Parts: sequence; C-alpha cells; structure tokens
Amino acid sequence: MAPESPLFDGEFLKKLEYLHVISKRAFSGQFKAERRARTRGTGLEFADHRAYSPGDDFRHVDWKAYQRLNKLLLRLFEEEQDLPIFVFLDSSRSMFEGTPPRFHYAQKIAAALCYIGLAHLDRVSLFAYSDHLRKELAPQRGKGQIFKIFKFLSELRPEGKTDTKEALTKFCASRSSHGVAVVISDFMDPQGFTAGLNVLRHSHHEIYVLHVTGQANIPQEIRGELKLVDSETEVTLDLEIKQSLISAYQSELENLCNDIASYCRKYRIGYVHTDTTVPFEEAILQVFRHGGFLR
Amino acid sequence: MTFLSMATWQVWLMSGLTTAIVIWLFFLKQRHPRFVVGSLILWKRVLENRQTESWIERLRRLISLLIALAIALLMMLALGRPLLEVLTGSQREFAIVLDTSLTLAAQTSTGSTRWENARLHARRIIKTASPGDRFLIADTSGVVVTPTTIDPKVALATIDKMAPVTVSPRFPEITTSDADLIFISDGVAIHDVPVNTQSISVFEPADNVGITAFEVRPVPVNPLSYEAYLEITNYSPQTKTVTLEIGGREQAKLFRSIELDKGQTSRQTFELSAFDGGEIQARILVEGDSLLIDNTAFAYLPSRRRLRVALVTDGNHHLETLLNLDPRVDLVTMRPNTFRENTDIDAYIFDRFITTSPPSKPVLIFHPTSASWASSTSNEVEVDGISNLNDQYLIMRFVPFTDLSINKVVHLDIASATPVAMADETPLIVAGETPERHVIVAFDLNDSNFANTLGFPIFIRNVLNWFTGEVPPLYRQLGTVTVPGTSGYIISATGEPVASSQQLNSTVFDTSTPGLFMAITDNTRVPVAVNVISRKLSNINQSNFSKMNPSPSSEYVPPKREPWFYMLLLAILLICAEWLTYHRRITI
Repeated sequence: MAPESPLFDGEFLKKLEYLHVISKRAFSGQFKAERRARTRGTGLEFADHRAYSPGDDFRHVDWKAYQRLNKLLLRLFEEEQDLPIFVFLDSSRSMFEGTPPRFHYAQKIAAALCYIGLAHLDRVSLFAYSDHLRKELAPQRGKGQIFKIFKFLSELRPEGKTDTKEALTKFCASRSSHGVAVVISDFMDPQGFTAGLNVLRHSHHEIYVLHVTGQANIPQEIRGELKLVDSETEVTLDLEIKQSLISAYQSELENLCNDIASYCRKYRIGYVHTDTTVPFEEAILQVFRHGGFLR
Repeated sequence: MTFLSMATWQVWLMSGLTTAIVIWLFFLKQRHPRFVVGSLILWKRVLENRQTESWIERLRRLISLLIALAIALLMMLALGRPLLEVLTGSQREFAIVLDTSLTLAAQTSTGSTRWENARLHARRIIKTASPGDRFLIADTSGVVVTPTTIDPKVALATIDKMAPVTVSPRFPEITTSDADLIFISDGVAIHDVPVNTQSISVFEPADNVGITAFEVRPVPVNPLSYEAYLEITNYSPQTKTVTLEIGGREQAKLFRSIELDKGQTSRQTFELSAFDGGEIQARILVEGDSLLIDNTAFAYLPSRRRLRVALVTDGNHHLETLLNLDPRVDLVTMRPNTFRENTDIDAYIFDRFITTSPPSKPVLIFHPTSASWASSTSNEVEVDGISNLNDQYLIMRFVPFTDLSINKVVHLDIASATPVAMADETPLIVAGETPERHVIVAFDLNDSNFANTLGFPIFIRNVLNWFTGEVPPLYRQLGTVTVPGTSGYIISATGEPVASSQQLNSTVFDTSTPGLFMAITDNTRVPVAVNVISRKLSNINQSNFSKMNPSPSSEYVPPKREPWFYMLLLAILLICAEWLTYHRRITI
C-alpha cells in the first residue's frame, strides 16, 4: 500500500521545523547536538565543579577557585548531544483497514515525527512491527535523511498480527541505549496494550503513545446481518449489527482509549489520541502539541 | 378433530413435515455478506458485555420460532378443513323438503308470498347450521332431490333455483334415516308427512277467488254455436265481489259482475257468437286476491265454418247417415260413374272407388281398387283384427278399435304413406301428405264392423279435422306440458317460439303462466290451452297448519364459517404481528 506521495509539501515541512520532540529526561547521545545530555562534556554552558584527579585536562581547572580555596577543582560543562528517538510503527494488518486506512495516517505521523527529530539533529530510528520487529531503519540524523524515511515507510506492507510485547521485547533485548520511544498503533492487541508498553517502561525509555483510531464513524455499510472478518486472524463473527450494537462498539472503543489514557497517566507516559477523521496537519500542529509531545 | 378435505393421517403427516421444514428453515444459517474489519477484539467485547441479555435473545428467538410454527401449522391445518366438535358441535344432517305446490305462490299479509317465506326459513336453517353439517334439499314436485352436500352455498343455490310449480305434489322419499327431516310448507297440498318430521308452517289465511273450470263448448241445440262455461269459487273467508271478463285476442270483451259468499261456487256461461275462432281468455278481477295465477284461464274457440264433403259411393248407409248427422258437414253424395271434381268441395270420401289420378282436395278412401297414386292393389288378403295402432297420429287419436272385426283387406303399398293401423304386417289404414292429404282404409265397411263401433264417428271426425287442419284443442295443466306427436315445435299465441324437446313420441315444453299455445306437429296446428284449474290448489286456506311459524327476518345473517377460515385469519394476524415486531426489533 503505497503512501500518498509526496507525504508533505514544503510549507508543512517548514512548519515542522519549528517543532521539537519534548524529552523530559536527558539521554546519552552519540554525537554532539542540541540536546542536553546526561554526561558532562565540552559544551559552553557551565554545569558543575569536581575535584581534580590526575589525568584531567588542565585547561578545565578553575584557577580562580584554586586561589580562593587552595583546591584544584575542575570546571564541568553541559554536554549537548543528540536525542535517540525510536519510532515504532504498527504495521499489522489491522492498521491497513478502515476508510481511510489507519496506517496511512500513522505513516504520515511517523514521517512527520521523524522529520522533526531529524531537523533537530536527533537520532531517529524507525521500526515497523506487527507480531515481531519486521523492519528497522538504522538511526538517521539530519534533514537529508528524510528521504530514507519516506522510502522506508513507503515500502511497508500489511503483514501479521499485532503483538506489541513480543516486538518491543525483542527491541529492548537487542539495545542497551535508551531514548524517546514513540509507539504509533491502534492498540488492537489481543494481549492487551499494557504488556508491550510495560516492556518499554521497564527499559527506562521515555514513552509516547500515539493512539490512532479510525472508527469514530462506523461506515454505513456495517449494518444488518454481516459476517465480520478479523483482518489479522481471519476469525469470523456473525452479527446482526444494529444501532445499539454500533453504540456499544463505540462505547467499547472509548473505553479502550480511556484505559490507555489512564495507564499512561499512571506511568507518566505521554498519550495522544487521534482519529483518522482529524485532519493530519491539525493533529501534528495542535493535537500533539496540546498532548505535550511536541512544542 | 376430523378433516373434510384430507384424511386425518395425511393432515398429521403434512403437519409434521411442515413443522420440520419450519424449524429447519428457522435454524438455517443465512450466508451473510463478509465485511473485513481491522480487529474483532472490540466486537467480541461488545458481545461479551451483551451476554447478560442472552436469555432475552433466546426468548425472542423462541417467540419467533413459535410464531413461525404457528403460522405454518395454521395454514397447513386450514388446508385440511378441520372440524372441531368443541367449536362446531357434532355434525348433523338436514333433509329440507320445500313444498313447491302452487298454493305457495299466495301472498301473505306482509306482501311476500308463502314461497318467499318458506325460502327464508330454509336459508336461515342452512346459514345457522354448524360448519360440517350436511344438507339434502328436496321439493314436493319430484324435480329436485339433491345429493347430500356439505357446502351451504350449493344448498342455497339449489333453493334459489326452486319455485312453485303445478306438478301434483307428493312428499319425496328421503332415504337418509339419520337426517333431521324438515318440511317447510303451507300445509295445503300435502297432508301426509312422515313421522318425526319437523314441519315449519308458512301458512297464513288469505283471500282467493279462482277459476275452477273453464271450457268452450258447442251449444247442444246448435252445434255451430259455442258458449264459454266458467266456474268460479270463492275460497276467501269473506264475501267477494268478482268481475268476470271473457274475451278473445284483439276482440271485444264480455263483462259480468257477481258476488260470491265464502265458499260459494258460481257457474256462468257466456254465449260466444260474437267471437271469431281462436283464443278465448277468461279473467276474474277480485280485490285483495292473494293467488293471481288461478284468475286467468284460456280456451280455444273452433272455426264455425261448415265443411263441404263429397261422398262418392254406390250406396253406404253408415257413411251417409253419419255425415248427414254431423252439423259441421255439408254433404254432397255422388255416384262413381257421375263423379266429377268440384272446386266448391272441401274434401272427398271415396267408398270402394278411386280415381286414376289424385283429386285436388283431401280424400278419405275406403277399400280402394287398384290405383298407382294411392299405392293400392287389387290383391286381397285376410286379416284378423288390428295388431298395431299408432294413436299418436291425429286421425287415430281417441279412436277405440277394441271390438273391430275385419274379413278382407286390399294390399296397400306403404312406401309413400304412413301406416297408422296394421294387422301384423298388413297395413289397414295409411295416411299420406302428397299430393294432397289422403287417408286410405284398406277394408270395406261392409266387410267389417267398423261402422258399428264407437270409434267410427270419432275416426271420421278426426279425418275431417285433419283435412281442414283444425283439430280440437288440448287442455293441459300449468308446468311441464306434453303434446302428442314428434318432430313438432311450439309457438305462443303471439307466434313466438317456445323452447321444447322431443320425448317418447311427444313434444314437451314448460310454462309457468297460463296461456294458449300452438303445437305444430305433423303439419297440423294443435291448440294447447294451459291453465291452472284445480279446486284443490285454489283452495289455499284448506291447510292442516293452524298458524304460521314466525317468519325469519330477511336481514343478513352471516354464515357460520368453518374453522379453517378463522385459522387463516389468525395466521394472517400472526404474520402481521410478526412483521410489526420484527421491524420493531421485538422479535428476530
């Protein structure tokens, strides 16, 4: 399912450049960049003193303090490094259903977030997952890499069932670095949404959950006696769909959203819910900002 | 429960099959259209939450199934036309005998006739009978005896076709012993009814003055003069003033007014010299008369013209005497050697004489000598009385030949004539139409005792009537009229054809009103006067019922319907209910 091309126009990309991915915590980066890192380094902004130990660079000794205190103290500066951003895009079959398909929406979101990260020299990694980590784009830096992102996204095809826990467990097991983990999914996970998010949480990532739904308006054709087919498992369900059932379904969807939201609140996880009916630009420029994910 | 249109086992078998089919159809999974959704997780949760309502769902399914079953079974059982004794009671059989005597045509004080009341009674019995009851309808004329029917419509249609007739009434033989025998009558014409018969009276005393005798007859002192004899009887409970009216078609009428006490009979004669021949109608006008059909009578007035007959004989005392005595005959006697045809003569009688060529007028020939046109020979054979007689032929009508003795006859060739009397294979009397009407008697009056028998003057009169084409009228009672002679047809007095049929040497037709008809048989016009002249029928108050049963109202009585009707109605209601509840999501 090819994404709409081009994903964004130039004007929108300019708007995206003014946005930042918010990180409440400092993570160790790999390269120098604009983010305050956990380590002290060679930045311009003074951070702290520490006692001199042999081998330290004499250039960082605070001689004025030595005169006053008769102690050799070393001046420490803030280290500004890049921010590791891990974007997990659910590419299970369920994401490809709906009108329009949720995946197209999620695809744009992922691309936009990646661009925001790239524009601020963050290290953006992109993962497509279903019941396992299907595809991975190595960390990218710089706006010029956005086309790799686009290519990566455009090559994604629907496949497999949703198993967030399995996929993220594999991710966490293979990496020791931490960063901002953005999970873009519809969370139609038979194992539940908590298991997967718990894995990330326990791995000390700063988590943002982007919940994409596409069924705020049930299509009119889902009425009467139907055989509903699960796109992931092919399981069927005979139903006589009446308005009461539609209402019940929407109520269940709302419950799911509420459950995810309360879970996220509980563990201070950023949660943004958007629907495919919400215009994409509005979602990026307003919804995500109000959700505390972007500024 | 019994069924009218199917055997019980068939109905139960069909019901079982219906039930099975309905249940199978009910649980038959419909192939629903597929619709792919992202995930069924939420839909399953919805259903799980709805499990609490499942007993309601099950109840709804059960109700739907029961309604479907009820509809199908009701329709199936309705096909079998069930009878439920609980609802309809036990089946009964009614034998309804309607008196169709003419007295039923009498009007009652309400303006309706006794017959209409009788029919109302019969209809009411049928309409108020239970479904499944059987009916046998019969009348007293012997015309209608229907087979037992379960269909009230058939019985009602039969009753609607019935009407009072003049056939001599008699109570029909009803063979079904377990039927409820109901006799609806005015009790006038029929008095003897079987025991255990429930009689319904439609009798009500009514006024009637009727013509009980009517005849046009010659005056004894002058056979060429005719008079009408009229007998009128007052059967009303009170004195009546009666106006008598005698008249012919398009001729002046004679009127006479008389007063008749209760039960009094008046005999009146009217001199008919002012009338030409033809139809004579007698009519009585009475105020408040309830039976009009006996107020009119018809007769036929013969032509009074004398017939010029030439008798050619060497001397025959019997013939000459008989013809001279007949006032309607103007006789001319001739010797054979002086015979010459005369245009003034209406008919010839040849005694032991025949011309070489046929005469131009009708001729009666006794013992002809050999002549080819008459198919006679000079051969004589001996015979022994008459063995075969065609009394349907006009000239032989009412002629007794019981004491006839004949010695010898000439042999007649019957190829061109009709034998009307035979002695074994030997024709005695033949009649032919061509070239003129002729009757040939094969024997000599002197060689037989025919001239001394009672039949001789009747025979001569019949022959002369046939020659002139004028025969005495027939008098018949109203109803089915039989006229002797085949190959005939009937016309009314106004010349309109009347539907008739040929049965056993007779012509038969039906008429419900008195009148004068003409039966055209064998090229002869026979007047047939059809009247209602019966003292028994006119006496409409001589009933063995003292009073009338209350007449049923003529208002509409809805017929009782069989259970199948209500079953179908219920099925339709259930279908409507099912439709309504389905669309309101009450049932599935």
